[in-house]
Amino acid sequence: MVRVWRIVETMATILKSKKRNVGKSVVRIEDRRLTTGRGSFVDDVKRQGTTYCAILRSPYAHARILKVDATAALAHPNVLAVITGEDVRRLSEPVSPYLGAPVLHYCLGVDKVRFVGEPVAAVAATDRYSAVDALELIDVEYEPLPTVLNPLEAMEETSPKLFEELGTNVVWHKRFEFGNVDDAFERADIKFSHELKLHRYTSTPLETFVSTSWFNTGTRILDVWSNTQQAGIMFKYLCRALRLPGHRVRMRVPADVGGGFGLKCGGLPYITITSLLSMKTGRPVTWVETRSEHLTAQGHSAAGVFYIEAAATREGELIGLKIKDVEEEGGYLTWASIHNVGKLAGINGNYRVKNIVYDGYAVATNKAPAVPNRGIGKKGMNFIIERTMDRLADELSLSRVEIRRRNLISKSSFPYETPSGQVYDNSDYERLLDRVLEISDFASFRESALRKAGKEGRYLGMGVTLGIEPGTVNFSYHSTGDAMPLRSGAAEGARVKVESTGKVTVMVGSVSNGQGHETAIAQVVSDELQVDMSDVTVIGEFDTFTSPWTVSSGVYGNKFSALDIGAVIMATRKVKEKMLLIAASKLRTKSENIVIEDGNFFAPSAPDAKMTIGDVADIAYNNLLFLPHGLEPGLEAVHYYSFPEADISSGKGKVRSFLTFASSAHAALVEVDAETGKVTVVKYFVVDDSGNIINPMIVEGQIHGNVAAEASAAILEEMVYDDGGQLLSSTFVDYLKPTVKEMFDIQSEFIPTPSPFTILGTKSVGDGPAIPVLATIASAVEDALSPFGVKIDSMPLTPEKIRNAILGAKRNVAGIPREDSEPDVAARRADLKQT
Amino acid sequence: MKVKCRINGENYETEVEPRLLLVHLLRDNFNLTGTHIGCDTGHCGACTVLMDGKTVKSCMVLAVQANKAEIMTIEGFSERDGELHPIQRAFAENHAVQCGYCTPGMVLSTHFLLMRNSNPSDSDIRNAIEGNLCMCTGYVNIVKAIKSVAASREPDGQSLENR
Repeated sequence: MVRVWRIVETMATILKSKKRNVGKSVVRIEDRRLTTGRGSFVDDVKRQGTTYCAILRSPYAHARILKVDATAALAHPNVLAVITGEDVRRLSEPVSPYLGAPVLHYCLGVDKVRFVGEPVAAVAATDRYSAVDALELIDVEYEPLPTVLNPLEAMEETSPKLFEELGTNVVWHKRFEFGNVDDAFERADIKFSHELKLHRYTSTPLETFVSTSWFNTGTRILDVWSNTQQAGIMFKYLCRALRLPGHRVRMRVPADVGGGFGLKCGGLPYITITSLLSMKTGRPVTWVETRSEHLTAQGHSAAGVFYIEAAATREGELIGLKIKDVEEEGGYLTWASIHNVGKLAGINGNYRVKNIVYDGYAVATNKAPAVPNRGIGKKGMNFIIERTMDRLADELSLSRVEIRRRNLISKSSFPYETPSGQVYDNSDYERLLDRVLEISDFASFRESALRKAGKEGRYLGMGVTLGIEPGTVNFSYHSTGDAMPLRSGAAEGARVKVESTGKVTVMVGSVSNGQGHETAIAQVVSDELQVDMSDVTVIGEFDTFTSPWTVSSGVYGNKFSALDIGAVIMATRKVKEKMLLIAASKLRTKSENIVIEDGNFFAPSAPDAKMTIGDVADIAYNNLLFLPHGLEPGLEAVHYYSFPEADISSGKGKVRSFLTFASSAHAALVEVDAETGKVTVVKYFVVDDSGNIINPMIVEGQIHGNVAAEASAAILEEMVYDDGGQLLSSTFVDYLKPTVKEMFDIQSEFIPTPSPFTILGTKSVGDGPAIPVLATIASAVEDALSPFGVKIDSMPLTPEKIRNAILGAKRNVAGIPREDSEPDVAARRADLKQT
Repeated sequence: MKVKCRINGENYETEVEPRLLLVHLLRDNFNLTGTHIGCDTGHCGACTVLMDGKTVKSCMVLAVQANKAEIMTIEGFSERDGELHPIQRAFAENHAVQCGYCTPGMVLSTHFLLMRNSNPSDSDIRNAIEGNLCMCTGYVNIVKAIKSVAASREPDGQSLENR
């Protein structure tokens, strides 16, 4: 009896003392090196004999390349090599990996250029400055062609064609129907339509794209260091482009990358360029993108025009949606259709609407390519459904909160299958909504005098929205868009090793772009093995020669907490199992009787006979004859974790594209100065359900950064092109990034509901908090300007646009002149010119 | 041309092209890679260093202008015993660091602020780091970190930097 009681007591102590780092705001492991300037970004490491690459780019938005003459550049004493379109056609294969058809691009413009900034030649020189000098010595003869910049014009038959071989600028078009849309529209009490527009902007990671290639002529291995987010996908296409077998290409990403946000998912053309130059020279070649190059040519968040027809009951239930989605792809089709199908996946948002027609177009224009930017197509996805909810509320004279309540997927219906085949894990949307209303004091704002318009021309407004954050891409969904037909599913690899010292080393197939993955992994592993975090070393680098990796490997698609953590946990458990066997054998008991506490292995029935993790490791590596009979020495395990819920596409637009669904409710308080048109975000609120959280401090940081970035996109940032296709916002002078002075207070809270689909109950956090911000601010500004009856249908909300909207508004408000009383703008300009 | 300067208390001397930028001198010639480049146009502040006691954006300074100058980069900023400086500690503890690319510049701009103003207001802080862009944090925790350093100063008002 005493003995039993002692066991119970010991178990209670164990449970109480069980180390738990998951769920705590642990200070990041990465920060010591990063705050002291000891991080290691790609361009921080010099290889013996490094040379530098500079890239000559097209000054035209659309032109035929008639001749490229690099003779003078090659004669420059510091220049080692030059490659042109003709060279890449001869020496390499096309590099567009993401679109199955219809066109293939090379890493440099061949025959034609289709946007300003498209690379046409590249130089390798002994120093950075000479490389740039040499660009001026390359003579390119162009025949300028007519340009088309507007996607709607580009769709017209008579418009100039970017890809003459296709005969059209519509590079992808598909229509999907879910449910019975005709029936929904027939039985609807109310129908309306509206047109929405999103602009081009970009998240500009502070570290630009960098690629270093070194073809070692001795080993005949090409070694590539870059800060790409998607080494897993890129690897195969790089091998193909360079005509090298996989075992002679080594791709690496260092542990420190200065932000990505999707902008570093591309970059394959640049890696191909530095590789070709290195194969020519036999020396390491480094290319560091300048900020202007990044803004001009790396790509922008996809712009789009959305035509929406909605059908609803008079009680406010949205029962039918017809969406025509025209996505502008730019002049390089790396990502064509992906923004469409990404949008389609979560098109119903947090709502029950079942009958949906989605008619998607991807259209080529003479602008920089559309690329992932804090979510692929997801801002459009959210903007469409949330703005439609606002419009429906207005049509029925219901409150914008009430209309959402009437359409939300209820807590009891999870797991919930959506029209496009997603299975939402679980959440409590109504509770998120209630809580955001509470913390933002929404009700009292509605009643307060504050809202009464017009105090010194300043108008206050609030917007409230909801959003989902799809996490973990199932590659099958790309086949909905006809792209990437050769891959499916989602997986990540991890290797966990308990060293002979008893310390733990972990390596995964992905890197971090600032999200603190090393810390999160160490938190999880230390919990699993009951060791201190300081005993866990996470190797943050990626290396195709040594990392456990798959095609999914990389940092994108909000996959970390499902796949990477899944792989880490499973590999850790494999090692743990083995350690228990070794300890049990030594302690002469069964492994199921052994527990681990504070790094010690023991049987609760005999707690005095302990082994440290070091003792176990010593047997595994050194005292091999004490291993249980037949057990392999060493304590190392690799696990490739594949998401168990992924399936393949039905081909009818229905596929489980994403595997977890975090969600959040947002509220914004904004002020609009009616005189100047300036919009100021006063305060922003987020109530987030990312499932169980590994490190709340890091997750809150993700919310801050994403909200700040998208709020800035809503009011400050816009890529502006002139009529000839020249980008006018190509430096941080003209492209307005927010400084600390533009920033506002962000208040966030978590209401986690654990996902049943992941090991730790995590969902995802990354782009999620960014997704609803455009719609929230649009809604708030519309609310502020409700005295004028201004409708917000397009972004961004620049002073000019707001001012024009007020002037053009139907309603007159005391003190604000109406359009017809305002002198004509052209006349005013003429006046100004004369004076 | 010859450049001779002191960086983080050590003497450096080299021959440079007249057009070489200070940031490239530090990074490429002297391997002090904690100073970063984010924009090439003097807007982002990732290349901030202290030159003769004042912050400069080292992409806006020619290497030859640093001749005879006293320069401090992030590599020279830790406490003598290798411990983190209170500013660095505050950045870590308040999660003011995400990708860490802007961090060296932010830390040095903060240092320059606190050297001159031991009790900065919210707007003093915002003015001081206005020239340093961060794309990850929305600045929320950076401002919080700087406030926490200022608040933890010793009661006699002695600045942490002069200890």
